[in-house]
Amino acid sequence: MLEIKGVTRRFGEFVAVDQLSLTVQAGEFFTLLGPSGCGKTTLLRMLAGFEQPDAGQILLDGQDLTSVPPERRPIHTIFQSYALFPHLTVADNVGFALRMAGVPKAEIRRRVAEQLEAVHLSGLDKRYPSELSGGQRQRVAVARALINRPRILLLDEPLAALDLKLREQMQLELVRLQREVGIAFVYVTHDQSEALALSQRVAVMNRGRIEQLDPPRRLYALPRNRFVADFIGSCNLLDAEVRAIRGNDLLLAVDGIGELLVPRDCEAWVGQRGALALRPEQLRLSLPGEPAPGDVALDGLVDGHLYLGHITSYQIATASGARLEVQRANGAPGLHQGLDRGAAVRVSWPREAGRFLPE
Amino acid sequence: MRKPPPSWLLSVPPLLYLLALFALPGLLMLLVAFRLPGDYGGLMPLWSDEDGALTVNLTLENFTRLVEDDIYLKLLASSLLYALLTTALCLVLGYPLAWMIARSRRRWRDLLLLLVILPFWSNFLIRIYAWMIILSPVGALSRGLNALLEMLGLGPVQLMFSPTAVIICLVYVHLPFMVLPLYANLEKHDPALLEAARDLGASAWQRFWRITAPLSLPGVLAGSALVFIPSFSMFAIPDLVGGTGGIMIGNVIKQQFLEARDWPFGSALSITVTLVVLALAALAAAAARRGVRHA
Ligand SMILES: Nc1ncnc2c1ncn2[C@@H]1O[C@H](COP(=O)(O)OP(=O)(O)OP(=O)(O)O)[C@@H](O)[C@H]1O
Ligand SMILES: [Mg+2]
Repeated sequence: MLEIKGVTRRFGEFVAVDQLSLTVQAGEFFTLLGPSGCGKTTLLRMLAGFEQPDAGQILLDGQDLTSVPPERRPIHTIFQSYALFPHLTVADNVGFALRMAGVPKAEIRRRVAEQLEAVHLSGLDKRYPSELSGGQRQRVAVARALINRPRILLLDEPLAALDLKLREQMQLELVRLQREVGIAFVYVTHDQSEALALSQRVAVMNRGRIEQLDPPRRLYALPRNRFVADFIGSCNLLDAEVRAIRGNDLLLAVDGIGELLVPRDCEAWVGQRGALALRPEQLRLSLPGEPAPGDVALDGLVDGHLYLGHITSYQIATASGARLEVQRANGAPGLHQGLDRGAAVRVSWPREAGRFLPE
Repeated sequence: MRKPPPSWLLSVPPLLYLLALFALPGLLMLLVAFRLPGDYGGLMPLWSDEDGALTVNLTLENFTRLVEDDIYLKLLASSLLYALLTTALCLVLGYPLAWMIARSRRRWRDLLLLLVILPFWSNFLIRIYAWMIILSPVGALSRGLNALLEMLGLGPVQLMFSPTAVIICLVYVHLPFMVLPLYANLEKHDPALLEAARDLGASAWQRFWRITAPLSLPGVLAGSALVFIPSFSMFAIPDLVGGTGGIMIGNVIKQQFLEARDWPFGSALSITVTLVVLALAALAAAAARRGVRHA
């Protein structure tokens, strides 16, 4: 179990990581997600030992790591650039940690062969890094970091340099490998779909702090604030104010829409300001005159659309003055043809689709 | 559309350059080495027509003389030793210096590099004269050293006009030629490699010998070549500070050309020196090929 307690790191006046606390369970696939510059790499480097926190503590199974240098932490890193040793063969790269630890040659050879097989690189052991493809290099980096069974593996955007197809394939493999070895992965990415696909839990970071720490489904369904809702997936966010509390519902006054009810799932008080969050895929489009499913329905015009293959994303300008993004699965019954710009439509949704996010 | 010029065209100027400044003079030396010296210096005509009998004045004598009298081979060997020692000392002194410069802040780097090449701004001979003053028995270095030796109960040493003086000056003069290529190499190293090595459990010592040292091999070889070759054939330094004990093969070659006026023998000696350098270069290149390929 890795505990990060109130860790702060400053660069001059700038606070890169700000009193951050979190716990990573043994064997967990944990992801740090956040925009560029939010302090993900800095936090990872403190876990590896390359940076010292200005305040706070990092504990591994109760042991304080602060004074343990990187070479003695049972924590390995996969660097964004992989940092493979260019003058060593694949086998020597993978066996590096064992060699440094003084493991006998014969055992190194055996374990390297085993490890290469686990990442499907058998037969490439005599190659040099410059003779490998991007995906193969990535595998070598993973094999090299896992060979002496660290307690925690840190991965700093390890797939960022790969093309989409290869990235998806490597995502599946990383998840498989992580299950097999049972080592906790702390994975850094700024790609939200990658974070949702891979992780057991995700910490959404912003400006050196954690905005929300939850399993992917919860993070997507119940974002705690505007930043998280906006960062994870796409989301319609409309300024709103609480007008009244009616049992388990909130009556909101929403800019560009008017008054409507949403379920109450957090503390709220009358007069509180915040935002109405509506996921675009939960909104329905119908032609005027057709029955509009849901509790709320607004008339509007199509202002633009993006065809994305599996879905089409429509920009709707409602008559009441709001702008909403609506996503429709292509090939769904109803509107077989795409809607052109200027077409009159109705946007509707069930009351439960809306959420109030306090400021 | 105009065709781009063929790529071999690019290598014509350097080839011409090499031909004019290296191959032709080398060939000339090689030819001269098989001829006979003229009666008053210069060369004997290639053939002479005495009493109707045509004699061609070519000989192997210059080379046989070189091996028969072992003084030349001994000088060749001691010069080789001087040059190797100079190269080793430059490497030992230059490596940490180059490493420190490569690791220093960018603001400092240019200044430090400037300091490394600053000696080139004054004439080579003047710098050696300066060393003659430093090394002379009344110079600060000699006096300080001898005072120290006396305290330890050891006899005084003379620095000036000794092999030690030759080595000191050789190292001093050639150190920048070691530092600059080493710096150029070390500066390019990716710091992430050292972090990765550290992350995988390598100590500072292991990080140096497993990562930095092998990756800097091309720089070491380039620097060593730049120091070794001019050191091996140096004559000015042993002339000025070597005395009788610190003579090198370069002195003999210079003597043959300027004083003994035996151009053919001087050429034979020069050719031999060139061959030794080429042989060593080939050896080093072959030994390093594997290590350098992926660095
Ligand atoms: N050594 C340093 N000196 C000064 N500022 C730094 C240093 N390292 C990082 N920073 C600053 O700290 C902030 C966080 O950097 P960090 O590299 O942790 O971001 P990140 O979340 O990894 O971003 P990215 O997704 O772009 O990699 C950035 O604003 C960066 O400029
Ligand atoms: Mg980063």
